[in-house]
Amino acid sequence: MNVVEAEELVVTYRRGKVIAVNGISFSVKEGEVFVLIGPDGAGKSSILKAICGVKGYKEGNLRVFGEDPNKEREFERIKEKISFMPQGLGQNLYHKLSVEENIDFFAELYGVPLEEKEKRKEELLKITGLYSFKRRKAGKLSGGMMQKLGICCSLIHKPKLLVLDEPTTGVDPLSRREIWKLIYRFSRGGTTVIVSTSYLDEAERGTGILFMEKGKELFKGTPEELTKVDLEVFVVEGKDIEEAYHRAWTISKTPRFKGNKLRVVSSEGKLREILKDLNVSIKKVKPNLEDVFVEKIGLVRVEVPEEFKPKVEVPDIAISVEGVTKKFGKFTAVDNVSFTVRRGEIFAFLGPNGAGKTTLIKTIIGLYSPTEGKIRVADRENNFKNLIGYMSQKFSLYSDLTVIENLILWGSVYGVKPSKVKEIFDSVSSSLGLRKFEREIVKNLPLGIKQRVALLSALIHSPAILFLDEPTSGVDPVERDVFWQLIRGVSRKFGTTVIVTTHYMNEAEYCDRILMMNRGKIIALGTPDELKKEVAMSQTKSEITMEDVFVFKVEESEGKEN
Amino acid sequence: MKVRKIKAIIVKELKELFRDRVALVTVFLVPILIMIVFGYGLKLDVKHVPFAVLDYDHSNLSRKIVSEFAENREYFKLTGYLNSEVEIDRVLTDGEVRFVLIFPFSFEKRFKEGKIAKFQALIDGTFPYRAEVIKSYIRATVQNETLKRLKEKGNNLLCDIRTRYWFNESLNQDKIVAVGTLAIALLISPAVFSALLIVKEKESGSIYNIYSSSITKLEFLLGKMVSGIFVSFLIFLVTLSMVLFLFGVRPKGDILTLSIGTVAYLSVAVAFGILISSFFSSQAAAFIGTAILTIVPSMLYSGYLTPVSSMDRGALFMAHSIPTFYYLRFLKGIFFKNSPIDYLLRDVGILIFFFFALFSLTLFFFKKRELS
Repeated sequence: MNVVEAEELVVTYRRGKVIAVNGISFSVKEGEVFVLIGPDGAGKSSILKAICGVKGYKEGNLRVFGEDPNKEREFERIKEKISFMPQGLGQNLYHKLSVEENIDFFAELYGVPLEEKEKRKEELLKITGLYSFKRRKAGKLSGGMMQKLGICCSLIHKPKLLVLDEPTTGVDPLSRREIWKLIYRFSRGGTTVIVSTSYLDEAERGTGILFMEKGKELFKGTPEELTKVDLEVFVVEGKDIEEAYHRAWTISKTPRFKGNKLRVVSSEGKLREILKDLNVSIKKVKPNLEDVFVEKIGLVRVEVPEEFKPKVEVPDIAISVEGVTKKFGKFTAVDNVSFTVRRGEIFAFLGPNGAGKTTLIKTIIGLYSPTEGKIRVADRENNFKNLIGYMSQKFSLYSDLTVIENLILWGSVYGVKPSKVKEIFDSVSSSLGLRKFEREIVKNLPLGIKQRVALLSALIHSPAILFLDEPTSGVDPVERDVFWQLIRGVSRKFGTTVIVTTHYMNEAEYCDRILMMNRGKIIALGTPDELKKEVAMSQTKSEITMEDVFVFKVEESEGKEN
Repeated sequence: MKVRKIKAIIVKELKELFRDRVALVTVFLVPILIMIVFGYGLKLDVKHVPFAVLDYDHSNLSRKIVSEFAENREYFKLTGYLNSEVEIDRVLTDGEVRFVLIFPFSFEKRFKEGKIAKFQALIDGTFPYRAEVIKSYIRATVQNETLKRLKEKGNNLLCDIRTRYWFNESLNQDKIVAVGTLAIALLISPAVFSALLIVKEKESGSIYNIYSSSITKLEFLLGKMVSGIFVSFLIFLVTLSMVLFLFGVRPKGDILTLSIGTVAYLSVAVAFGILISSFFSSQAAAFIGTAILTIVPSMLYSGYLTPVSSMDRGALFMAHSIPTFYYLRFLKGIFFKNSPIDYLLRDVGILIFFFFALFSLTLFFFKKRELS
């Protein structure tokens, strides 16, 4: 029997003015782990809310256990069978209550008999590893632990359908793995699970996948079906990689840089033909979901405009950080960190939420002064603000101004005349795909476009060093590629130094060097390949991902502490 | 309806509140501040009115009348004599004085000739209520003086009047204000607190636990309601002790009746807050919305600032449609009049009616799902 059956589902907000889900059909069989995937604003949450009957749908047909969620009265009766964990890190938990009290509250809500509750609570606490924290306040847990507690709370009344809205967003890779283990465990026990995520690599863990964008279906099926397409995918690496990338555009619409490697979807003959005089190696690999996804949509080639060439040359050591510690009261956010960044490097700070990445960036650019240690940017201790560009986590755009107004505002902050800003915009807007958005109010723009505008505003005064704080959270692979083409472009073409923070492990592969942080400390530093090699030696797995490196390094560093 | 589920909500709410120091302080500090700010700050009495005199006559009579004013220290305060008319403008504009008395030439002469002796009072009219009161004070003072002189001449008065104030024997405005403020504070604080009780869950996302679970909306709303009333009663105990000990107002009626009526009133306030919360999804909006909707009508139309008897038709209708009007009447009955119990119970009954009306509306408007 199908647990969920959706036909041409339409979900709207603001009395129909905003269409979040626009004609989606799918079905979820009993015992499935069904994954909804898509970037922010794709409509994932809306579908999940409609399934759980916490938000009505406008058109189409939806049946959950054969009942229509829009019929409020009838649907109330089957709510005991469903459990819904909304989006947001620990947002549905009661932070002032302890772990145990939270679970108790959920049990009471569903009227779970006392004896059964105690038994099940103990079991759940043990499975999730929260048993020793049961008296701790929920607000004092880490992000990963909060999500696990959320799952415990959702499972206390033994639901037949578990609906999880982005349970792994903002959670470190170690906890992500544990959360997926939990999902599988309960799925094996007979619970049907529907999960949404914005991580492409997680989609492959489901038994069924629905990929959405802007409220519409891009594709759906099982992971096997989706990757068993006749795509030929190649990884190219070697000395002439930049030229190879350039030429690859002539035969493919989706060449992508992955660090120093190039990934191309093409026929082997053609690829070898155009690359034959170059010093590169070509290796055929299995297609993954990202290949399928980008082939479906196609990438855009972005030219980096001359306007972004820095006016000031910085020395070879662009940034040096020596023994920097930053404390907030008793809390040490950054703990004795030292490293240098060379001119033109793309340098990543990688680590889970709360690792100290943002604090470190803010300390370097002078928004915080370090408690201890020395920082030099372009060989200066201060007075370097005109050399740097900064794009903050939430994009520092004024949402009620238009794109061009925002840029003019940013320009004037750095002393760039409005006429000059206009000139720059006119010359770069078409290659950035921003031309038609010039007079749009920023808050109405899609996330990916906002991100490009934010990047443009950080680049408007042609800085020599660019700081980007979590620039690509929640955008789809196509947007992400545009973004990285730009970053790579200014770095390779003009020698602009780029510092970027991210908790997307895959993203780190775009960077020249990676600094991994956990709890304010450096736990690894090196190029992606170096780090992988280092870890590969101590593991038996054939292909090591950045996530493996991270998990290994965190476990190693925590092991040392204990 | 399962009592167990209602209890779970109540226990959760109280645990959350008593473990959150900031929330706890806000919940109790706001009503305490309202009591202090309004209780001490709101002075409706017009006393110690400063005035000046421009005397062209310089006679015995004019001096006698001025001293009659000046000696009444409770109501008037003489700031000095003026030398010319030009100065009148200045002292009134600066707000140095509230009125000026002007005695013309031959004021005394006319009096002695048996003609009507006229002198002028210029009153600052920027605040009409105050101006009216000052006018009546001046009238009374002058009439007093006239009557005295008539008596001296041997004329018998036709009738005389002896006044006594009931219910508030010393005619102490502060006591009335303190009790009135209690009614205001016990509407605002519980309503705002209860509105946030639900909206905070909408803002954080934990409301989805309720939406998606099998708890019924009656159970959920009752749970929230009882938590709200419980906390509000604590607020009542705090503010009541301020009225008793800080403002020194002792009720003539009994505390038990007071508590019963107050619970009814608090239930109305809580139900109102919860009704409001059905329409808002951000705490800031709910806070401002509830505050305005409670403060404005309860201050203007309950009889707190303006006596209900002096209201026009529209205002009178407003007064009767807000619960604070009935509670204030009830409070005055308990504190000042020791009204008979059936008078008091009539107001309590009306409050209970308000509660059921608001609660039914909430049951109608509250949906266990997101607004679409």
